[in-house]
Amino acid sequence: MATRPRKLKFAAGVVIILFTLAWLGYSGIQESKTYYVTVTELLAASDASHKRYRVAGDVSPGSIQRVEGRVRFQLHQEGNVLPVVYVGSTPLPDTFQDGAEAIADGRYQADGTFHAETIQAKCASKYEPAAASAPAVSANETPTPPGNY
Amino acid sequence: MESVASFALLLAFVLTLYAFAASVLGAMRRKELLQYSSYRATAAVCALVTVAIGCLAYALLTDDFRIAYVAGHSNRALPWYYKITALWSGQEGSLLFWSWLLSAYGMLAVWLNREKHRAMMPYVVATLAFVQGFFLTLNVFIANPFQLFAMNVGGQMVVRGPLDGNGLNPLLQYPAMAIHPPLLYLGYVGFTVPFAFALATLLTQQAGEKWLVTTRRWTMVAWLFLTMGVILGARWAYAVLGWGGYWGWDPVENASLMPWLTGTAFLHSVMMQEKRGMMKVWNMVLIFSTFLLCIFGTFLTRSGVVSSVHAFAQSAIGPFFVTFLGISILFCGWLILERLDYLKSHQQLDSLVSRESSFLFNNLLLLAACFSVLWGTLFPVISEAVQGVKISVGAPFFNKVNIPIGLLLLFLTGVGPLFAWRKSSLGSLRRNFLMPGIVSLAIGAALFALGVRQLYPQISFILCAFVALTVFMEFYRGARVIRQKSGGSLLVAAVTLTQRNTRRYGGYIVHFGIVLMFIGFTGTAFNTTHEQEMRVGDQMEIGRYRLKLLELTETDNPNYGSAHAVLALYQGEKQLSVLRPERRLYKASRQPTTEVAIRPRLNEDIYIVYAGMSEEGGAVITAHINPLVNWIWIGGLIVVLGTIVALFPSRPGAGTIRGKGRTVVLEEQTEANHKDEVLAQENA
Repeated sequence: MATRPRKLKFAAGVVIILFTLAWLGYSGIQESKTYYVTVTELLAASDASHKRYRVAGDVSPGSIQRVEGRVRFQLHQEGNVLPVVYVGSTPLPDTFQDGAEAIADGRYQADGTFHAETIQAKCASKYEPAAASAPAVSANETPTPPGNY
Repeated sequence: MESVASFALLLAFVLTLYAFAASVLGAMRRKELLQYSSYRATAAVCALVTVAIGCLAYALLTDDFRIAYVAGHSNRALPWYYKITALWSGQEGSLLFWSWLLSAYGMLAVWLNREKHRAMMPYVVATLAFVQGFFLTLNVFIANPFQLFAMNVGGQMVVRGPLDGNGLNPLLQYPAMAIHPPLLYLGYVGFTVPFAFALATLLTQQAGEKWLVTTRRWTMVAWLFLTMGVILGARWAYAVLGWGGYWGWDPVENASLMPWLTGTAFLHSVMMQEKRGMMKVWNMVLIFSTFLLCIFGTFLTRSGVVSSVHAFAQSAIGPFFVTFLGISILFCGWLILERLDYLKSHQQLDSLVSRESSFLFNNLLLLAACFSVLWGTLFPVISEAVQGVKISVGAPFFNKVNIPIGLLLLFLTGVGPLFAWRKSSLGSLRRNFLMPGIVSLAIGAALFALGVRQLYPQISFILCAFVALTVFMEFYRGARVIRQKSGGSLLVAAVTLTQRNTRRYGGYIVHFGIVLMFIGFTGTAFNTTHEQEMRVGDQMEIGRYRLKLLELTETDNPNYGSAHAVLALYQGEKQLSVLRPERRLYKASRQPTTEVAIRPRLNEDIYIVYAGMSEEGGAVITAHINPLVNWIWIGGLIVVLGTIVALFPSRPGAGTIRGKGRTVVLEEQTEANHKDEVLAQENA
């Protein structure tokens, strides 16, 4: 029975594949790993310039400027302000507006600005209303509930 | 209305509990009547949940904003078909939808199999009832879609809704989005049925492989829907999200991919069990994991555990899902360990160059892909638990791992089906692979000469050619044999061939579809993007094209207001077409969206986004050229077609004249060839 070398060959194949994939995965993680922080945490971090960050904060109203095709704005949280320059290529999301809750992915620069490569934003007014806190309807407006029985 | 629905749901919940208890008791005490009553209960549950979801649909269609769910996900001006889709656009509705589909699947599974699989049926019903019970618990107690608005009017609480609803998320107001979630859910939910059969098999220790056929068929049905759902989701992302791509390794996308990967692995390795009695434990693990990943996917999509910064805070359903998953994993794990003896296989691997080994590597790779996706998706959760910091990984991680996996899988797609069981002879290898190998390498050389220099795309194109040729050769060889015996054209013979062994040739069609999809994926390597601020009359150069902004217009309708940028597309001096990318502001939700303008062609798409107005008053236009992307959708269609072919029962006598006493001479030729090979080797 020649099962032993056969099994060995098979195992070798499996091991090579898995190791290669693990190595690729490891380097992929190193390349793209992003730390989740808030504006306050980022400003407090000591060696902030080496890593990729995903910063969460609110877009300061009135701070969005478009200069020479670049979008600059400020993220704020608990009184801390972070100047951000958007350096990405895709169009900014439609929900990116004054006061929106935004998440910026990118790197912190030595000059104190944050270069964001992608930006996600959640419109401040668009939260799923809890059933209790319904939109205000004044008492004399009577909605007609059809099919009520 | 809502009281009828709520009552129906509550009654369905009670009947589900009854179905569970009656089926288990009926099986243990061998009381047939009790078993039958549990089958009836399953049907009643289906009817009741149908009533509930019917009520919700009616409430949506009639703008019954007293119901919080309707007010939160619809509005008066919404077209009626999108009102229906609002049914599954929110958490409560989509969970009810899950329940409904499960009850329908459950009833169908019971109805079709109650005579065929008498002994295991009670356990199938019990499993289905257990899962149904979980979802009905959510529907009734946690995320009830029939909650009403109560308002304080003159010191009294009165049920009264707002005048108009908040509207459906504009991103969901797109035709593909109307059918994408139902298909995805049909896939997710569908995997419950094979799971129930597998579990019942283990519990009752069925002899024989009859259950396997049933399980495989149901898996194929679920897989078909899941495939359609995933592809339509990609299509939706491409046409609606406006970033020029179709797959962003988003947690929700990943959630739908993971069960697809394990389901695909099962559909392949199940053949090892059918033909060689191998991999029994492994197949159980695969079918269990697929089901669990479906539940996990629903959980990821609905609980916001990963994408949200505040895990669990958004939704009350998280802990319930975790508990349900925990119980299921423990039970499945325990059951497999308990039944290891029953699952013992007496066969072993004979050769590295065999069908078995290609399946093993196929499984290894699919599982590695699934694991990497799971790992990457949960990385923020894992890193927070281990290191205390939340770290996410992005597309580079997923691409780095999964592109090589995809290419290796593509390679196996070509060689695997042509390897013989047990061991392939050198002669058969030469016969099967020499021509495709040489031709595909020649195509690779030609592409290199044309300027394709990147490693992965180059490999991918060569492999695509290789796999396509092997598939083509299989059809050609089989069809030629049939034509020799019965005449007619090669095309008719190929159809006959397919009818005789739908599973085999349907599988080849699926593989061919996958090849086309890979061609589309590879095109991504050659994408180009250009963004420019434009005023009326301005021009933009991109690739061999030129875009000229003709005008900026505005229109309005009750649902949304919109602004168009009208652009003429030129190649040289010739005007090819006029494109109208659009920006909309939806009135009910006050949410702006971008509507992409696409000029689809088989060689490349021109994809234009009207990104907005700059401070200086110019229109910001982003243009993408996406080569070959349409082959993904075409390939997807062929995958679906192939799966449907494979679902039809084979007709071994197809193509022969029936009733004339003529014996069926023609067997499944290629299958026979392989058997001959095996025999020849054994004799040697």
